[in-house]
Amino acid sequence: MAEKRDEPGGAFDFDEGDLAGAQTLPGAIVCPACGGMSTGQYCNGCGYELLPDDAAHGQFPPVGARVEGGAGKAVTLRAPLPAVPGAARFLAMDEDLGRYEVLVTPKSADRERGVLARRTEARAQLGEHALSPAWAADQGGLRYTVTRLPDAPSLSDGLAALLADRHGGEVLEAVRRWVLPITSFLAGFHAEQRFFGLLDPSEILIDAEGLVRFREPAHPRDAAEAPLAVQRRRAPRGFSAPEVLGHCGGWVGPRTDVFFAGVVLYYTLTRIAPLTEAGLSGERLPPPQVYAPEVPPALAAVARRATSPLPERRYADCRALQEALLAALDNAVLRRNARHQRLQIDIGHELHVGVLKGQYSPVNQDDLFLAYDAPSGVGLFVIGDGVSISEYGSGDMASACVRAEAVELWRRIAGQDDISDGPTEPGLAEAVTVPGLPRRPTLPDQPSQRRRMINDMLDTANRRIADLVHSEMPRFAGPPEGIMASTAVGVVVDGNHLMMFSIGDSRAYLIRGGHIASLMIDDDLTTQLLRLGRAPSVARHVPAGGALIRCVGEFEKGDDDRLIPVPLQPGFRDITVLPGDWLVLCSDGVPDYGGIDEEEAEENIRRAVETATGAPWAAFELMVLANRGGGGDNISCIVLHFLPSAATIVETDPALPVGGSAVA
Amino acid sequence: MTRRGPRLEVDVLLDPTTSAVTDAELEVTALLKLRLDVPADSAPVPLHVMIAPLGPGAGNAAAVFRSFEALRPGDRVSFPGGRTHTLVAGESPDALRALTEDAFTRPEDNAAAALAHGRDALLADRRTDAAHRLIIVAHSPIVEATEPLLNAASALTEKHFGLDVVTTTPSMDLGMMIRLANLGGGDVAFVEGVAALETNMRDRIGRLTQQHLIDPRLELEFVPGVVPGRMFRAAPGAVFLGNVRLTPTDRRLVLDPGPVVAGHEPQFLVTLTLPRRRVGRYRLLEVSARHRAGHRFVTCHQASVVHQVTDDPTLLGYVEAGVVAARDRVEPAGWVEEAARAFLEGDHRRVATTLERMARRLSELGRSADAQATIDARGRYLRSGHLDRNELNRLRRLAGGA
Repeated sequence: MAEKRDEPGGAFDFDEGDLAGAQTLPGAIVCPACGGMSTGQYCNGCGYELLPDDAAHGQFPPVGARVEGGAGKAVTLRAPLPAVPGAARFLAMDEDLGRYEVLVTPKSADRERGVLARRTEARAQLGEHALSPAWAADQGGLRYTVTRLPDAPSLSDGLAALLADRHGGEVLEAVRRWVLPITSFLAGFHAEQRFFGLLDPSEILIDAEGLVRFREPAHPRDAAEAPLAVQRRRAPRGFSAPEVLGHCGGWVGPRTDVFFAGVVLYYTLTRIAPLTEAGLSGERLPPPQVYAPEVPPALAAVARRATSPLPERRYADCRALQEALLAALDNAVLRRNARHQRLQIDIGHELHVGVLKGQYSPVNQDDLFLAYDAPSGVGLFVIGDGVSISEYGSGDMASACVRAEAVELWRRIAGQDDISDGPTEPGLAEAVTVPGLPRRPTLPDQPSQRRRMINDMLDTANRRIADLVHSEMPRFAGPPEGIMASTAVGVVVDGNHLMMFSIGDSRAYLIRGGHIASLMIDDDLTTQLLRLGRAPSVARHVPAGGALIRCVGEFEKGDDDRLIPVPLQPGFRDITVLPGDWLVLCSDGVPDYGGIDEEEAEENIRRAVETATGAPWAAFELMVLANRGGGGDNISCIVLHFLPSAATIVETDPALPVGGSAVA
Repeated sequence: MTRRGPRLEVDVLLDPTTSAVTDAELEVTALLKLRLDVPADSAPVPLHVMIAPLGPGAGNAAAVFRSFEALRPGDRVSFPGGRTHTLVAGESPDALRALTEDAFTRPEDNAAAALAHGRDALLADRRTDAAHRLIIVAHSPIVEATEPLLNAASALTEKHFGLDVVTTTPSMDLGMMIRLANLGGGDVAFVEGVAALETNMRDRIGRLTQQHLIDPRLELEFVPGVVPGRMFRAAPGAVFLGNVRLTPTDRRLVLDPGPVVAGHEPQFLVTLTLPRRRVGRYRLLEVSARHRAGHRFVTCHQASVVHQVTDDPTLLGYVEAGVVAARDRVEPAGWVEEAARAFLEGDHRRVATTLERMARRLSELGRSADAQATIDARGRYLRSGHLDRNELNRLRRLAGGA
């Protein structure tokens, strides 16, 4: 503690004013925090603790103390660990740098018997997953119980290492190393009708073979007791389910363990520092792809379900979670190793004004385009959602611009245009022509060229909007933010390889095996703040958090009051689909009105799609779902069901592009 | 050997207990849990309860009278107008019945007058060995201006007379009643029907007879730089008490917790803003629990609430679950008052967004029925543009967990 006392004849040149108080207050201490003068235990000015509280600190040994156990056994206390009231725990080391946990309890207190008895009982229940004390010693009225720690990092150490190596390593390996062992361990207990309810990642050690052991033995409970109100005062921040913190009635059960495993999976996938407010706010964790855009969708879906703030929406227990996790890992490997092949696609789409929205705005501002050439396996599907509060122009005109450019692009892909008449898309190969057969659509070979192709499509739509404005207002007087705009979400299909693109907040969902994963990131203010590292509670409650920061319809204003289109920056994602996958593209009218909250809406979307007999029926069900939920926004959706090429599918007219309102 | 009497102690939980060093101000929430420690041989103190009927409600006299069954010999019941009755063992309660019926037949029609009369009567008949309580049983809405009411209630609570309000009128201004009652750690309840009134009064008087301490109070003295924000009563019920305003010279806050009864100990929650701090342990406030013993107040518990600021991330990883749960419980009460204030200020947008926020939060907390009720209230408000008193009262009761 910094302490400055009156020292006559000292070498320092003191300011007299500094010592004025000391001369009149014998024994007074200058507060190192605020410079004030106080005589008590705490500074009168700022409350800083000037003298340590003997009651709090004097009972247990300080860090650095040496504990002798006889027969040459000795350890040195290195760092304090969290402990129950009335006891202390330390991380310790011996001379050979072996690691130990030291529990210190008052020798004569009842508490000692209580703490040690509870640990012994918990160890008995944990079996091989508990560590046994190596030796004990009594010194100065205290009992030291020393436990040798295995050479295995704790779960929180593992997650910290992943965070430190954020851009390296292999996500599936990380899941197998950290998530699968803890999930399997919990699943084993759940199979025996036992659960924990409260787990601390810093107390869980996982070795390279996946054996889980507890540094501080956790106490399993009987599942027959669940749901159970936990009377624990302190819970690990960022890992505790809302019910542990008193939300949702405070009832814990096996689903509480599911949250823990789910949140470990979440941090493994996203490689972010534990969110201090996870479980606190009662809100869902942000989608994993916000932090890690390329996260495997199946794993993201499992993490989202397991970390639901409402226990009844999570997996029933860790056995179900383990099953889903293994399936998701297999699925990710299959996607990664799948070779390029053509799949048959069952296609459905719907476009509806929305029953409530239609009452005050009869114009549908959504638009869509879909085209698929079955023989070549090439397709283009796009949805545009016009912004309804435009000051200049209207959302339906903006989304029509997106659709019109999609039509143009498809014509070029399909070779239906005379390409020599207009500028050729850079990198766009000419349509394949075989004598005697119609020309087949072809796509550029390189992913970068395909992205460029979509970028150009959206930029041209952007220019088209500017032209529309200038046709009415050659010199634009207003702010460029008020100009009509549209979102765009779409997919370029090349066999089983998809290139997704999105700008704005329309959605793309991949559905498979009872799980739904959102593939793209919303371009809104909230998501942007999340990506910049803001806490979810801050980002979600920022005013106008839903405002789009990117969309088709972005301009700057030139000196001559002409609009200068800004080069757009859509998000891209390449994904390989497997037979059986469903892909849903939709405007936000579907998730916003498909349930009472986003999570329920996504579950309703999944159920509607997976129980449908075909893609057209699924699209119809989605439209009905959103209208049943109020239909307060325009509704548009495209549903693609990928089937093995030999399967029989509902016949669609493959080469004919379909537009929402009108397609040339 | 010194004989030990009942003691009032205070447990203070902070969330977070430990903060990281930052350049910004820190936000900390403190939950103050009162705990009554009563020796086995300690007897409850006598009670002097005053019942002030307000508005015509003669039909409820019998129900109120039946609730007096919980009183013990030596306890005293008063009514406005100087009518007082002390229960004597073995005596027939007919006189008390007659007094009750008389009081309910000729009730006060002015709340400020009821408070003033109650204060005068209690003061004239004050006993140093008894707990005192004024219960207003209101059958009609209060129509007077706010100022005289608050003055009358302040005059009452300055003398440490607690105040409860039980109303049978859905259109009673519960917000105002809560303000009045909470000056003295009181409670406001809305009951529908005679049976509910009797049950409520019976429970209330039963609890009042279980008091072991007279005029308990909680004193908080904040360290300079620590700025208290919103103050709630977290138990019993959830009530937004208001925003704390301290003067630069007097950093003391005195809370009247009302009757402290084992099993029903009050809890308070206060938000604190701390200035930027360097590493160390800091006292935030000093908490004292006091109660009256004879003619003076004695301190039975005193503790410093200490918060740690650290640069060691391993010390930051824990949440004080009790504080979080209490915060969840009381937040909606604050939002209802914010919506009411916004409506009075004509800020319709804020009313709608506050109710939406409240509904969303209740939904997240798994209180689906309450969330739906809030959504319905918001819908009615958006359609009508009016947030009437009944609607606000419904929301207050919902937020209070009633």
